Amino acid sequence: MTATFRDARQCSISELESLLLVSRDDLVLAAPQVASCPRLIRDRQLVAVVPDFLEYARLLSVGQARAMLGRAGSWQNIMRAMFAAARAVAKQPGKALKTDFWLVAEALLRYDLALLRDFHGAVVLHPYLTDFAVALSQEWFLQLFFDLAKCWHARGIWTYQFPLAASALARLGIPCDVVVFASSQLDLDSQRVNREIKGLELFRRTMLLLDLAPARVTTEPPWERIVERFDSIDGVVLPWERREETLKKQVAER
Amino acid sequence: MVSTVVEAPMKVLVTGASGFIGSRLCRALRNAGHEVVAVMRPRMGNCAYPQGRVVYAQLPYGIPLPAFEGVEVIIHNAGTTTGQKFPEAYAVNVEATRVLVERARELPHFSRFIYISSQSAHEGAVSTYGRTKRMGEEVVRASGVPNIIIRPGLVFGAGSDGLFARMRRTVEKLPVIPLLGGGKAPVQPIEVEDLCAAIVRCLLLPSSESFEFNLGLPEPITLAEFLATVGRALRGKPKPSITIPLAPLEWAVSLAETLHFPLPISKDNLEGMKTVRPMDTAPSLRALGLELKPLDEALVLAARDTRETALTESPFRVVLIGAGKIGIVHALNLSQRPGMILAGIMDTNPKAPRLYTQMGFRVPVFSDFTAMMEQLQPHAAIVATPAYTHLRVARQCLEAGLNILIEKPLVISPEQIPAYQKLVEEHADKVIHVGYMASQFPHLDIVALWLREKQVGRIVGLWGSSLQSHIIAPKPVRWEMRKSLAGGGVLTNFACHLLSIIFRLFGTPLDSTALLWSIFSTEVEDAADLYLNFGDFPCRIVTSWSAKGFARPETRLIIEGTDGIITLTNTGTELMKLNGESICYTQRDFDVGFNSAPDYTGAAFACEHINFLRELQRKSAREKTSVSPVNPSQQPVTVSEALRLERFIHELYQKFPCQTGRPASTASGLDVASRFNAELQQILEELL
Repeated sequence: MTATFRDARQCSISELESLLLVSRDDLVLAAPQVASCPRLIRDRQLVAVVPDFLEYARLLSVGQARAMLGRAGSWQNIMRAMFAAARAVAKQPGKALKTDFWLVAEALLRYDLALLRDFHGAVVLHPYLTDFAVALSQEWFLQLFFDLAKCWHARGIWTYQFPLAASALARLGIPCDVVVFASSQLDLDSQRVNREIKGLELFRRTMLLLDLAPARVTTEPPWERIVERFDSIDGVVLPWERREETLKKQVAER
Repeated sequence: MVSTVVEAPMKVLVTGASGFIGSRLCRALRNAGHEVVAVMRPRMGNCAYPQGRVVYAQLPYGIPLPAFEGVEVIIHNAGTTTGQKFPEAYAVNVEATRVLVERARELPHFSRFIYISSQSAHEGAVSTYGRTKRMGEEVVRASGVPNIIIRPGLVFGAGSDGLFARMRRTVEKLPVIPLLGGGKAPVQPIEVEDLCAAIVRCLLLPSSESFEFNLGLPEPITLAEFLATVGRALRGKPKPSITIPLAPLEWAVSLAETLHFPLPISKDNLEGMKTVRPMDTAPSLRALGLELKPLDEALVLAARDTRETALTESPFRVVLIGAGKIGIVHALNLSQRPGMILAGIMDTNPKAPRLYTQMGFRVPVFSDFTAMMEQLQPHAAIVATPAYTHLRVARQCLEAGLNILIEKPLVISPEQIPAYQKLVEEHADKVIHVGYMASQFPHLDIVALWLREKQVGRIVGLWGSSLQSHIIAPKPVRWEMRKSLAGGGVLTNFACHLLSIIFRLFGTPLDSTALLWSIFSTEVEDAADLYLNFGDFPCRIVTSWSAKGFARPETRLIIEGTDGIITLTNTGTELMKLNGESICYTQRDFDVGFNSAPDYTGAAFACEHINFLRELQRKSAREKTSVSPVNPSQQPVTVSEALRLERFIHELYQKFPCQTGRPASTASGLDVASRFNAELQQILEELL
């Protein structure tokens, strides 16, 4: 196992800038974060999650579209991203009028990809979209993502439904550079699938990252012990939480 | 010849269990006394199950490990026959075979692997289907596990599904039977029940040997003869036919497939037809002691009976009432968990379910309750409407005979409490659960255990926070900001989850005080600082849905003891002792089946549904039709438990009026020298 990524998607830009100055960790970021501090992230191994679905869905649902645009950084970024999103809408105006779920998802995806113009890391699809697509037989959306992201150095998915998503990728025959999947020490199904998929040529060179961020409680989970249970892990994604670090210190002090 | 007497029933896992062959095979196995694990793709809408315990799975990797528990025989019957998509055919016909064989190898009492191949699977096969089936056979042969490979000919039978039903419809609809390439391809039909009988007999063969069986009519007939017999069976007299040359047809089918135009035949079918080879079936039939039904007789019966089905088991049909955001989580869980089927969606706003349909929930939608009841005849409803409608909808459902899982909160004012108590009394035969899902987190069991074992010594304080970025501006005025619609603010609609956990672990507090603030709302509280007195120790809770940076809501409870602390969050729990010992469990450490969001409340929703399903099964005294996870042991939230909590919250509202605006100071109430108390104070000050 080689890579250790910190999931810093919850950080504000100022927090991220401070973090980048003091830490050499590889990072998981949202596309607007990448667009906002391109200079600082240049020399790192990065995973960008697209689109920033949870945040965008929340902002749009409470009528805060301006706040969403504001996260993109410069005006040039906003214009480029909006233009990209508009292409999705223009393709299917009928669906756009009905605010079709998957069309909105495509527009958000194009929006975020447009923010990653000079990005050299891996681009992965947001877990909620991956999982909706595989659970609701909308696998075409995975294919669409891989098509739209074909210009990037590495493409992949993030999933909370590893067996389902791996099955979908196998059936679609999509060569996938990165799969980030959530798991834990007693999640035997994922441990099993992690072993099994390496038997398929399609996944031989896939980078498998174990997402331990959902395992965050107070301290980091004993991730080295968890990783030992997986045969083919290339790295882990760990949470980055200020409050949890504080709490850990408090317990230690007692 | 094989004896047909089953001496020892076996546990048999069947893939493709909902298909034409699979469903009948499950029935035949059950009739022979075997225990069946029926693996099928997830279903929704109006559907039935095959016989056996149903497991939802997507191949090749999706069959959950508990499905294999005690399995002695695996019958890999699933196969994809769709078009020219090689990756899909390879994934199901080859990769899934490899995965299943690997799993079989590790089963302690494994007896045999049966692979349902095809007449097309020969060394000269050119179609994707034939080639991948052939590759699947090679995987099985090389595996070293005791195996049987079965190559059936053209499988036909009564019913409305499968290849034969498509052929029959074509013959029925068209005035002339189209014969592709003159219909010269040799076919060796076998009636589906005969095939199932043969497979069941395979279970009795000695497991020390491997076998390969070709099954079908010993003397091949042409496809033209077969279709003519179908035509005669349908009309009582021969139907005219016309020869269609293969070359132009191949071109047309190829074009249609490129344009994604659905046709009853694929290019792959045509490829297969050109290279099909007769099989020597007589030795196999002899070895299995199988006498096939006379073809003409069997075909007449099969062609005429379109109603026969082996999908006869009825899962609980559940309707979702209220097509809002929380309903999506319920619908997703229903669509992925066997035992309860999402039968339909009802919302008085006919446009509301559109989002669901767009997302991929293929179920009927209704705006009228009566029409929904008449058409779907559901067993149960999940009520996910706005809070102010809960009592009315709950009553309507119960009076219509439905069991209900109703979202929280039950009441929007304390005056509604007696009405619920009366409803429960009047409908004691019905399951009525309430959606306080957080108190059904599987890891809460662990916390309860640690507390019983006094792992943290004497409790000195409880410190809780529930933070969310939900109401972050005065406009738009959402329904949650209206007292008459939501019943209350952040306490009623968000922090109630944390409170339900505390009530479950520690009971009702002796007394309490509260500070409530409206930040953006005008009618309800957006933030609260609660002090609960449990006698031996204090408890403080800080909550707000107007906090910054919590797109994903966070709930945390710290149980501070003399010997350590327990931390409980949505995602898991951790015991940290002062001696440095630390134990951590997360949601994913518990087998709850489908967990929609392990980063949030996925396991809690899963447990809520499992508890509801269990209670439905118990009350109906019905045999379990699906494989349930072993965990969790959590209990559902009953109406009385929910009302106890809601009465408490409404008493707080009456005693402690909401302050508007941001107060200058938050310092009041609890003065306990705890770092965790100080941390909560800091959260509150940053918040306000």
